[in-house]
This record gives sequence, C-alpha cells and structure tokens, in this order.
Amino acid sequence: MGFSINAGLLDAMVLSIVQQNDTYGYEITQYLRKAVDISESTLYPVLRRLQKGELLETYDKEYMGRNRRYYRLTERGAASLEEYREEWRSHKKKVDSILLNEGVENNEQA
Amino acid sequence: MNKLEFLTKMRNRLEKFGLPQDDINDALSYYEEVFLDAGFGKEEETAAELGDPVEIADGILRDSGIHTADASQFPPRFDETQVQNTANPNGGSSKSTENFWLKFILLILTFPIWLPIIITLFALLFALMVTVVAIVAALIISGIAFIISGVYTMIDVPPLGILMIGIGLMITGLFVIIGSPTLRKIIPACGSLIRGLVDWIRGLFAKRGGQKNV
Repeated sequence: MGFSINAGLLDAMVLSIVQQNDTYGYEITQYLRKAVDISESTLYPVLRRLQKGELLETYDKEYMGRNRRYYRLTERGAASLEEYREEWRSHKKKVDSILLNEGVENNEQA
Repeated sequence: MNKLEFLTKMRNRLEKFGLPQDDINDALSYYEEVFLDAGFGKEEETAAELGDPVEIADGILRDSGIHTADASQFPPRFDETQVQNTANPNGGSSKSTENFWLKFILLILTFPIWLPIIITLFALLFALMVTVVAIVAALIISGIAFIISGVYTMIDVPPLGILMIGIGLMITGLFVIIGSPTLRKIIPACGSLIRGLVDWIRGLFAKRGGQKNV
C-alpha cells in the first residue's frame, strides 16, 4: 500500500536514532532505510531543521584523515522526542483500534 | 557525473542565489560526506542516486526562503506531506503565483485588443435580447391595436372593421403561440449565455492561478 511518512514522524525517528548513539549522516540514512525508503537528499533538510531548532547539535570527529560530522541530541531534543513518542503512542492506538480492531469494541468510539 | 562535478554544480547554484557562505559550506560538507561514505570508486553511482545537484541546491535554497525563479522542481520526495512541511511558506504555489502575476500584467497591457471584443460580445448578447423583446412586444401591441381600431372602424366601415379585428386576433394569436414562451425561454437563455461568458473569462484566470503542487 505504501504508507507515507510525514515530516514530523521523520524528525522524531531521526531524534530517536541519534538518542541511541551519537551518529553521522550516512548511518542515520541506513537506519531509516529499515523503515522508510529515503535518500540522503531528503535527510539533509531534516537534519538542518532539527539543528536550527536546537534539537540536535553537531561536532566533528576525525575519521580516516577527514572530518566526519556527528550529531548529538540536545536536552530540548530529548524533551521533544518524548513528546513525539507520546503522540505516536496515542495516534497508533487510535489507528489500531480501527484498523486492527484492537483494544476497543468494534464500532465503539475510541 | 563524478563527485567534483556534482559538488561544484551544487556550490555554483547555491552561490548564485546568495545562500550564506556558512550554510553553503555546511551543505557541501554533508554531501561530500555522502560520497565519501559511499565508498571508494562509487562516485558515479552515488551521484546518480542523489540526482540533479541543481535541484538539490534549489531545495536547500527553498528551505532557506530563497526562491529560484528558474522553474526547477522539488527534488524527488517520497511524501507529499513532507513537501508542505519543509520550511517554505509558499509550498508549491510560488511558481504559479508568479505565473498569475505575469498573465495579469499581460492582460492589462493587451487591453486594446480584448476589451473591444468583450464589449462587442456583450453588446451583441444585449442586442439579441432587446430584439427578441421588441419583436414580441410589437406582436402584442400591434395585435391589440388592430383589435381596438378594428372595433372603431366597425362603426364606419363594418367590413374593414371586421378585417382589422381579424388581423388583430391573428397577431395576438401569433404572440400567444410564439411570443410568450419564446420570451420566457430566451431571456433566461441570454442570461446564462452571459454567465457562461463571464465564467469562461474567470476560468482563464482560475485555472492558471490555481496550479498548485499538492
């Protein structure tokens, strides 16, 4: 069916990935590709936005003679991530109750 | 395309539209890393996967609120919603707003051509309506006139009077058969013709102004 992902969710997923481990662009893309079909060009604006919003910060680490840019979660980022997670849980529950007939009686309002 | 070509094209495009140097360097180091992380000897492949550096640069510019008038499309995205959410207040419609203003100016400049035509068309429609009304009115008025003068003439010259009344009745009959329904149908028809004309004109604008990338 092709479930499309919206920008907010993508932001949250990136934050979550970075929360696990400070990481760099290529790795983030690889992780995301487990769930969504994206390209580095799509990721770049997301990283920029999160950076500008001070949810992520960057630092350079040397790797094989070059500088690799690493991303790390800020405190604001961590707080934002929790908010996103709450919203996602709530949203998922509502969808599941309809789509998977889970948790609520059929045809009852969630 | 190899890495150098790709990055150079991107840099040139970003510089052309005046993205701040810091942001340019930021973007370029990101994309250079993409090439480096893809691995040795994979430059062509990576460049192909990434797509058009000019388009990518335009996307970056757009996110910074810089509009690149050379109509280049968004870099291919997998989600429509993300397109809306990515920092550009105009969404996809900045190109069509431009289009709209261009056409508006053209319209104003060429008014000596289209204005007389429009006026003529409306005038014709109006004349048509007036003509129809006039004919029908003439029918009933002359019909009644004949009958009345026929009655008067009856007093002097009876046969003539009868003839006139007869003619009057015929004309009135014509009016009832033809005139009345015609009036009732043609006037609304003219109304919708006029409305159709107006809608057509409006359509020329709405269609163009309404091109939005959803």
